[in-house]
Amino acid sequence: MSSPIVSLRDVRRDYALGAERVHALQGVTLDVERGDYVAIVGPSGCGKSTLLNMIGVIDQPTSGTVEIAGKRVDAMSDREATSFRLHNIGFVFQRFYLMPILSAVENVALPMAEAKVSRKEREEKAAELLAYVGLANRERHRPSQLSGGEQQRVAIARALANGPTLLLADEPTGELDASTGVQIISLFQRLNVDGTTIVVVTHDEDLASAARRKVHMRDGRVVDA
Amino acid sequence: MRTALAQASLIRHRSRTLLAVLGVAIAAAMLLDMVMLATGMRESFRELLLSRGFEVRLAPKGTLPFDTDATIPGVKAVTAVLRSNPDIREISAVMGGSIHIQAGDRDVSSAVLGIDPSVQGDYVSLSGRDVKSADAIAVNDYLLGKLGARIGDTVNVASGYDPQTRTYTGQRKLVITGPVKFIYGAKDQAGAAMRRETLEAMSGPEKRDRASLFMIRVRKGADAERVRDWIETQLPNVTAISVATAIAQVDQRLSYFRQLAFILGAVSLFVGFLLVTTLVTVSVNERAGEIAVMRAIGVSKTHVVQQIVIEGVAISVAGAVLGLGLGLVTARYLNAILSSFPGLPMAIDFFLFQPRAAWSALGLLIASGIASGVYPAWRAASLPIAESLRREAIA
Amino acid sequence: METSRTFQVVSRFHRAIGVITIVASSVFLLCIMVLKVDERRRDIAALRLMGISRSSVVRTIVIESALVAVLGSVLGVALGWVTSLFVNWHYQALYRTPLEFSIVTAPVVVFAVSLSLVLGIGAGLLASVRLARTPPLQLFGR
Repeated sequence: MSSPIVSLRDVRRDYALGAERVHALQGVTLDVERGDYVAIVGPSGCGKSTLLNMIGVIDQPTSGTVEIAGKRVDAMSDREATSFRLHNIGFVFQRFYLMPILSAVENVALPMAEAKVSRKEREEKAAELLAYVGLANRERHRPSQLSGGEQQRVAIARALANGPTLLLADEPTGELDASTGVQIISLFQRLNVDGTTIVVVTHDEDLASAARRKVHMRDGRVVDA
Repeated sequence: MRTALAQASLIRHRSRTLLAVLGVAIAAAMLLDMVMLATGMRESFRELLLSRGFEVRLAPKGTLPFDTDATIPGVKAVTAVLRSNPDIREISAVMGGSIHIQAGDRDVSSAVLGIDPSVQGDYVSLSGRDVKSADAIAVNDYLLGKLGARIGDTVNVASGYDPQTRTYTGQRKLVITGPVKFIYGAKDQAGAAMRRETLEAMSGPEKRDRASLFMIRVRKGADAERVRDWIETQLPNVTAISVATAIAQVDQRLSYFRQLAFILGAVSLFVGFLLVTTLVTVSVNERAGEIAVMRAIGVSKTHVVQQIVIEGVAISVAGAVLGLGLGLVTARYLNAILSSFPGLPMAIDFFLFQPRAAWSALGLLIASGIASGVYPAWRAASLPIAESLRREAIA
Repeated sequence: METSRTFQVVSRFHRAIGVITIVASSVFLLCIMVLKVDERRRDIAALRLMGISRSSVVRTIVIESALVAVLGSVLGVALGWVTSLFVNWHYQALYRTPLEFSIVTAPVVVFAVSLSLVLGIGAGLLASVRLARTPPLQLFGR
C-alpha cells in the first residue's frame, strides 16, 4: 500500500477577527490517497475552505502537520511554499480569477512562464490543455469574451499547467448555472479517470455525488455523515 | 510575460497613465533645468575663456581684467620677461579705451581694444578682413549700424578725451574694416578694434607702453597653474589669473543661482518620486485580488514585485524622455531672459546642456521611480493570500 | 522709482521661475488628486449600487477634495512662511544686508490658497464625475 498523497494530522487554525478569536479548524486528521477524488462538504463556516487552503499551502496551520507527497508543508518559508505550489498544486477558485488582460492561452501559460518553461513549449502545452478542456477554438479570447463555464475551464487548464500532483477546487461550480455545472463536473470526472488526484470543496450536491469519497465537516471538525 | 502584463496594465488605465507621465515629465524638466543652471554658468564661462586657447591672463595688481581703468606699465619689459619662460607660447597685449567716431553726420562713442592682430584673442572676423594696416579700424555689426557706414568708409576717430580742456589728444582718419564679432562683448554694445600702436599713438602719454591686459597661451602639455605661479613671482605688479581662478571667482558671485538650482532640483526629484509612489500604490490596491491569485498559483513574490515595478519604471522613463524635450525648451526661454544681464558677455549661457550631467540627473529620476514602486509592491505581495482571495471579487 | 537693469533681469527671472513652479505644482496636484479619487472607484460603485444618486456621490467627493485642499493649503502657507523666514535669515546674514529677500504678503497667500482650492476641487470634480457616470459593475471589474 502506497502512502497517502495528502496527510493531515490534528490540524488547527485559529485567527483573530476583530477582538474575537475564531477557531476555523479544530483538530482535523485526514488522508487522501493518490488518484482519489474527495469532496469536502458541510454548512457555511464549517471550515472547509480553510481546510483546502491548508492542503493548497496557501495558508499555514496554527498547529498540527500537513504532508503532501511525503513533504512537510506546514512550516515552509514563503519562498518554499510558493515554489511548491507552482510545481505541485493546481488551484481552481470559485470566481475563476483569470487575468483579465491576458488571453485564454496566455492565462494557461502563466504558471509555466513562472516555472521557466520555454515560450515554444509552454504555448504548445497551453494549447493542448485548452483542447483537453474543450476550448481549442477559444485560445485568443479574453476572459471578458468568454462565458462563465468557459472561464472556469480555462482556470482548470491553468491549474493543470505544470502537471501538479493535486488539483484543488473551491466551489468550482458556485458561480455557474446548472447545465454549465454539469459540464464542469464531467470534466473533473474525466480528469480523475485520467489519473489526477482531486479534492473539491462544495455545496453542490451533484458535484459531491460525482466524487469517490465525501468528507463531512462541521464546526471545524471532520464528522461522520 | 512580465513586461506584457505591465504594458497591458498601463494601457488599461490610459488617462491615469498619461497624467502620471505628464507629471513626471514636468518634474524631469525642472530637474534637468536646475542641473543645467547649476553648472551652466561655470562651464559656459570656462568654454568662453578657453575658446581662443588663452589659459592665463594678467591684469593690474589686485584687479580683474577690465574691472578698472588701471593699466600695467612696461609692455616691452613684461613681454621680455614672459618670453623667457619656454612654457609660454604666445603673448597678447591688449589696451582698452574709448573712442569717438564721426561718420557723415553721425557721432558715436564706442569701447575700443588695441590689439596685435597676429595673436589677438578678443574677436573673430566675420568676413576675413582684419586690421592689417595701421590706419584700419575693425567694428562690430552693431557699431556699423549705429554709424550708418559701410566697410571701406573713412571716418574720423578721436581718442583720449580730456574733460578739463574738453579736447581729444588724438584724432585720426581711419578706414573701417571687418565686420568682426567680439567674443566677450555684451549684447547691443558698440565695439571696435585697432592696432595697439595706433591706439597708443592716439591716446597720449598716460597709455604709452602700457597694457590693460595680457593674455597668454601656454605650450601644449605645460601646466597652466605652474606658469601662473611663476608669473606672479616674476612680475610683482600684476595679478595672474588662471582659468580655474577666474571660474572660482565667478562661481562665488553666482552662488545664488546654484543654490536656487539645488533646492528646486531636489524638490522636483521628490515630487517625481511621490507621483510614481502614488500611482503604484493606487494600482496595487486595486489589484490586490489579482496579486493574491498570482501568488496562489505559485508566482514568487519577487516576480510579482518586478512586474509592478516595471510599470513604475515605464512611467518614469516615458516621463524622463518627454521631460528632456520640455526642459530644453524651457531652458532656452529662461536663458534668453537672463542673457540680457547688463555687461554680460553675449556668449555666456546660464543654462548649458551637458550630456553627462543631464543623463545622471535623469538616471537619478528613473532610479527613484524604481525605488518608489518597490515598497508598495512588496507590501501588496506580502498580504496573506487566503484573506485577499476572500475579500476580492473579480468578475 | 528707478530700478537698475540688473534688478530687472533678476526679477524677470524670478517671475519666470515662479510661473513655472505654479504650472508644475498645478499639474502635480491634479495628478495626485485624480489618482486618489480613482482609488475610491469601488466605494463609488458600492454607493451607486445602493441607489445613491450620481450628484450625491459627486458632491461627497468634491467636499472631501475641498477639505483636503484647504488643509493642504493651510499647511502649505505655514510651510511657506517658515521657509521665507529662513531664506531671509540666511541671505541677510550672507550678504550682510537688511534687504528682504522673500516677503509673504496677504495677496500672495490668497492667491496660493485660491489656486489650490480651485485645482483641488476641480480635480475632484473631474475625476468623480467620470467615475459616477461609469456603470457601477464596470468599476468593480477593472
